[in-house]
Amino acid sequence: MIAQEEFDNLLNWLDTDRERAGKKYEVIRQALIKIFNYQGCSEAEDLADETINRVMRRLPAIANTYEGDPRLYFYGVGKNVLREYMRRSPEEMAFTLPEHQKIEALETEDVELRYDCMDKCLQTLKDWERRLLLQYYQDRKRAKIDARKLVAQELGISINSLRVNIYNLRKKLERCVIECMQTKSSNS
Amino acid sequence: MIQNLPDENLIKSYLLGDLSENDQDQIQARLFTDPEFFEGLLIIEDELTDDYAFGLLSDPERRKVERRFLVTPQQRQKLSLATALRKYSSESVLKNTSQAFIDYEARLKPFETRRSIFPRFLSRLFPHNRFRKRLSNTDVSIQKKPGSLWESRAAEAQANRNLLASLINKDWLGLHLLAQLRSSSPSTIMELASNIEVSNVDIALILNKLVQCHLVDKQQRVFSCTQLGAEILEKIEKATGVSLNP
Repeated sequence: MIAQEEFDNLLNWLDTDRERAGKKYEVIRQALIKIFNYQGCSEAEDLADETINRVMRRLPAIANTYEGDPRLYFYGVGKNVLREYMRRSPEEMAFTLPEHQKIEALETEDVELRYDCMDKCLQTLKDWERRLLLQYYQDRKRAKIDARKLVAQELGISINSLRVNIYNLRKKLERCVIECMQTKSSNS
Repeated sequence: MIQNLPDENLIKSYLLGDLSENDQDQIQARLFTDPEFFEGLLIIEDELTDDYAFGLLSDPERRKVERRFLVTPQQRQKLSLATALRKYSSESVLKNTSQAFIDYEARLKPFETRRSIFPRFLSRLFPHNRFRKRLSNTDVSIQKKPGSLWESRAAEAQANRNLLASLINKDWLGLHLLAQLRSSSPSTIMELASNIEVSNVDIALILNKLVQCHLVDKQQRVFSCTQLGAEILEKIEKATGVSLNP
C-alpha cells in the first residue's frame, strides 16, 4: 500500500510539474514491466511495483544528494530486484516457457468470444480507421513484399506515420476487445 | 507522436535477445529516459507479434519471440488479437465482394429477365477477345494448351469479377473515380479527394484495385484513366444511356 505522501514525494522528485511527473512515472513503470517480461519473469508487474516501492522508501535518504536522471535510479534498483528474482529457487519461480503447442492451445481459448467482440469493437471505430486497419492486415499476409510500403504508398503517407497510426488503432481495439470479453464473460 | 522509428534494427535485435549484455543494458536504460525510443519499442514489439501470428518469422525468430515476449497472459492476449485480426481481415474481403455482387444484381434485376444478367452484361462490357490481350504471358500460355480451356475461361471470369468489383465497391466509387479521371488531367489522391469529397483512404483503396485491373494507370503518385478504362466507361454509357461525365 503506497502512502499518498510518499507517492507525492516520488512524483516531485521526478519532475516539479505534476503532469510531466505523472507521465514519467507511467513510462518508468511500463519500462520496468517490459524489462522483467523480456527476462522471462511471469510476475513482472509485481516486480515493477516492488522496484518502485524500494525507490520510494529510499527517497528521503537520497533525494538531496542523488546526481543524474532520477529515472535511471529506478533502472538501477530494478536490476537488483531482477538479480534477486533470478537467484530464487526454481520452485519459487512460477515461470514456464510455453511450448509452441501450448501457445497454439491458448490461442484457441475463447476464440469465438474474441471474434464476436472484435466484430463489435471494429464497428466502434471511425470508417476510415476500420478500413485502414483491415486493409493493413489483409496486406500483411504477403510474406515477400513489405506490405507496409505498399499500404503507405497507396495512402500517400510515410511508412512511419502508417506504423504509428496502426499501433494506436490496435491499442484502441485491444482495450475495447478486452473490456468486451470481460463483460460478456461475467454476464454468462 | 514520434516522427521516425528510431534504431529499428537495434530494437528488433534487443527484442529477439540478440544483443550482448552491455548493449542490452544500454537499450534498457534508454527506455526510461527516451519516451520516443520506448514508443518505438512498443510498436516494433506489436509488429513482431503480428509477424508471428502471420507466420512470417523464421523458425529461430519464432522461438526467440516465444521465449522473450509471449510469456505472460497479457502478451499472449496480444497474439490472440493479432490472430483474430488476421482471420477477420480475410473474411471481410470475401464478405464485401460477395455483397457487392448481390447488390449489383439486385439493382439491375427489374430491367432483366429471370436468368442471371451477369454473363450477358459482362460479355457486352468485356468481350472475350479484348480481355485475352490483357492477360499475362503465363495466362496466354495456359490458354494455348489443349484441355485448359476451362482454366483460361475461369481465369478470365475471375478477372472480370475483379474488374467489376473495382467499379462497384464502396457504392460505385470506382466508377466515379474512373469517370473523374477520364474527364481531367492526371490527378493525385488529394486532388481526387477534393473533387469527390470522399476520404483519402477509400480513394486509395479503390484506385489500387482499378490499377490492378488496368483501368487506371499510376505514375509516381499520379493517376490517369487508361484506354481500357475509357472504353469500359463508354460501353457502360451506351448500355445504360447515362452520361458518366462529372
